[in-house]
Amino acid sequence: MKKKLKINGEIQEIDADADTPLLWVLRDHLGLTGTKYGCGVMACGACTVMVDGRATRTCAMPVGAFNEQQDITTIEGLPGATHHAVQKAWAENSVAQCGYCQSGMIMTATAMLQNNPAPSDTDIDKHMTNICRCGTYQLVRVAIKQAAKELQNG
Amino acid sequence: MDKLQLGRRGFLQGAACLSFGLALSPYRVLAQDAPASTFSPSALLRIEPDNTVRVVMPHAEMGQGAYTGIAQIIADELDAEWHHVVAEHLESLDAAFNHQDWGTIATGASTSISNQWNNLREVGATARAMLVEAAAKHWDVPAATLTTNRSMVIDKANSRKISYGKLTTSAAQLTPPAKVTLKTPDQYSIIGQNVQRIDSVAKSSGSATFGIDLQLPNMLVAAIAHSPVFGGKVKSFDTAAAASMPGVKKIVEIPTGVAVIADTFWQAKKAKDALKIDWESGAFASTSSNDLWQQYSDLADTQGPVFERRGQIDFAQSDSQIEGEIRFPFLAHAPMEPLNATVQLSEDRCEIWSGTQLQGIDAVNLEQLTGIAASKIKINTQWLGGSFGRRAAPHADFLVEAVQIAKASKLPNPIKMIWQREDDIQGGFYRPMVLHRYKIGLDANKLPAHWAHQVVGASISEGTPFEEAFVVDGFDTLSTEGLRHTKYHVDNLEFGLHTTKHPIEVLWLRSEADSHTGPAVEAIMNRLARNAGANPIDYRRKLLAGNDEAHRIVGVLDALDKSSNWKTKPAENIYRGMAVHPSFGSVSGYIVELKKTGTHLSFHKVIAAMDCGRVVNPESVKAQIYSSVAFALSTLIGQKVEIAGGKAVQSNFHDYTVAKLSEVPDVEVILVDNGLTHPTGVGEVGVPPFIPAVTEAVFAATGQEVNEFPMNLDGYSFLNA
Repeated sequence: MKKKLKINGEIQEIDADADTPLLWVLRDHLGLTGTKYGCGVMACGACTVMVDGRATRTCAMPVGAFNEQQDITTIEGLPGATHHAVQKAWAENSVAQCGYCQSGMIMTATAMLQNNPAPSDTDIDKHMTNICRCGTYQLVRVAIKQAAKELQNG
Repeated sequence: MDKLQLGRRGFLQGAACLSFGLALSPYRVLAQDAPASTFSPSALLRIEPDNTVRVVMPHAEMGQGAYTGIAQIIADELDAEWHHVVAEHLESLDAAFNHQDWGTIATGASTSISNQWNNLREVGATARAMLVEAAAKHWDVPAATLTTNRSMVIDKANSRKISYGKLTTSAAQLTPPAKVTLKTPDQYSIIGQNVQRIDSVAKSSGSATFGIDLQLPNMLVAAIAHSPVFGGKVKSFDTAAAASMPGVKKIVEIPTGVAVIADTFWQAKKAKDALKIDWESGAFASTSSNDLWQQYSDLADTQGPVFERRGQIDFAQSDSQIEGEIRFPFLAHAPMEPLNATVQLSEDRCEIWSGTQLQGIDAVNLEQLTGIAASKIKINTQWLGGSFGRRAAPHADFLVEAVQIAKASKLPNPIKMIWQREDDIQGGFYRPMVLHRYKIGLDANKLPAHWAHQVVGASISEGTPFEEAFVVDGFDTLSTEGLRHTKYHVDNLEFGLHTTKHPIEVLWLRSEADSHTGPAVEAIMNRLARNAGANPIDYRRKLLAGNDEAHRIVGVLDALDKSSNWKTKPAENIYRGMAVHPSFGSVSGYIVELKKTGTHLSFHKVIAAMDCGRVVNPESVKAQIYSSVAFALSTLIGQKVEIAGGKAVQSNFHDYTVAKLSEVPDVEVILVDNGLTHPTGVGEVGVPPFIPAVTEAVFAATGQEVNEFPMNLDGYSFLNA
């Protein structure tokens, strides 16, 4: 099946079976390997991208369900001040350990902060349901708060 | 403790030599290529004309912070500009990259920083001395008049300086000095500092490529159908449906199953699911977890071969007795990056790209498998998306599978084998299931005087290249470490080990034997202290008093004691537990406070104390404590692999759960200085004592003794469950 998708602001034509999860289209067809495979059952969040600004798990979402009107953003194409602040806070706090889940973490945190620039601890608990096997959660929270502060101070 | 670690190292080194002859190893392939204009006084270090300081990493980075710590140590002795230091993955099997105590290239047992400590400092100091000498020649002044700072040689008397980058060519002509003077601790400028992780930017931008991300020209992808029953074999298989599916290139049988090779992962996976395989499941197909526990329990009723004895057990001589049993389930490592390896195989060459911890031993396994000389085997180490011991595979199982697929396919293409999460959770190589049974006889002061203990579980080392290293006097120390040589003083004790066998492969998981011996011993100590109505810190101090080898444990107890209001009663609805445990040359301990709201329990406060000797990066050590807490918590609330019909019941993160951000407590970490001048283990040390500290707080809150994992509390909920 040939299909057009808007990925990181550019229209891409891909050729994949309609049931291929978006994750594997990104990774194997487009070479965007920043988005990770962790479970294949949308339980861990390593495959999170943004679809029209919403954090979306892609490892079991067939590419056939997407269309070229949707804005699909991966870690490689994250634009804007929010992501800049998130990425900086992540790096400065050495949040990543093995780092494998962190693309998904960062996508989820960025989507949350775009909608809610001053999240409470409860908001963070509710949104950040991604699994990190290294258990960097304490620093994820610190980094989100630092990024939120930076965004509020402009 | 330190003596014990040395013993273990010595054994391993001995085994490595005996099994593989690695000390006289043929693996002296060329070091990673360096351009002529660089200064490379050691295979581990390259200084380039643009001032880049490149450190080729002798250990794998799987999250534990090894790359950063290794770079800090070299950079400090080199007096390098930290921002010019970069890490490079190992692609060589040169003996220069060997573990300093094991005689082969390997990462494990929380030793990456400690084993390289002297070596790395000498590498840095040697390079620095040569750069100084090059500058002295350049200026024609005595070397002793020159100093160094931030990648510059400085001639203060003549107010001039020159960068290391400008000295690379001339320094490369010099003979390394026979002896160098290492810095004293007061001279450290990068060691001990909270520098940002060297991989922090790459891992915050999605640009760090893990093994699974590798892309090569003409690369194909393989997925495997493994036997659902442990120990099962392929009887026959029908490829009719799968072979004609889009993208499928080849379907091959390998000893562990059937692999489909296709253009993309999804094509390979779909075709793999369409295979019709008839499995020869064997006798294990009727076995369940209950059967295994029954067998373990029956064994514990009998005296196992004794691996440690002091005095003479006689419960008739004791005032009272306490008995109990604690069961630890199979645990899967579940690193976030599923196991994978890319192989390019030709008749006389084997190249691998994978995140692995045991390159030196992998090469031996692959040589045996392929018949290709190790000098023609290249292993390109990648970032490891977690491991927790799974990527330290004594038989290189996942690399061997990938090579078997490539070999059977006869395809010239590079082939990337990717395991699904289910292959990982259901594929064995688990932390063994272990049963601890104990009986303690108490004296008139309610202190233990007689301690009988049976450990029941499968051996990790037996039948592997590590057998000679870890099996001591017939006992696998990977079953007993942490209980063996306990520092608690008990006049009479007798510890037995029943070694079981089953077709499920077992493997070290973070904290190795200490993952169960630590929680077992500390749960016992908590129970004894409670029985005596004693403060559990003071009770432990009594049992450690007068033991020189226990002074670091006491130091951690003191730090915990000072940090908390331990002696005052906790506030209403707050319940406490504590524990301490020495492992991997270090000591850690916790105080855990739980809050009870009706029938719900949650964390109120967690304090950790850690003595890991000389601290190279304090924030990195703290990060490993946070990590240990989350890792241990997952085993308390969501992880076990059960067996039914000879298969694993759990399959993925929905039923083998990992603690989430909303469940993990904030941890306050105290780094304890007991006077050690060298670093000791970090990555695995924090896991064992967290478990019994929580279960003791749970007991205080609920009156329920936790004797199996994950916890199953009657009438109470804990965190999100």
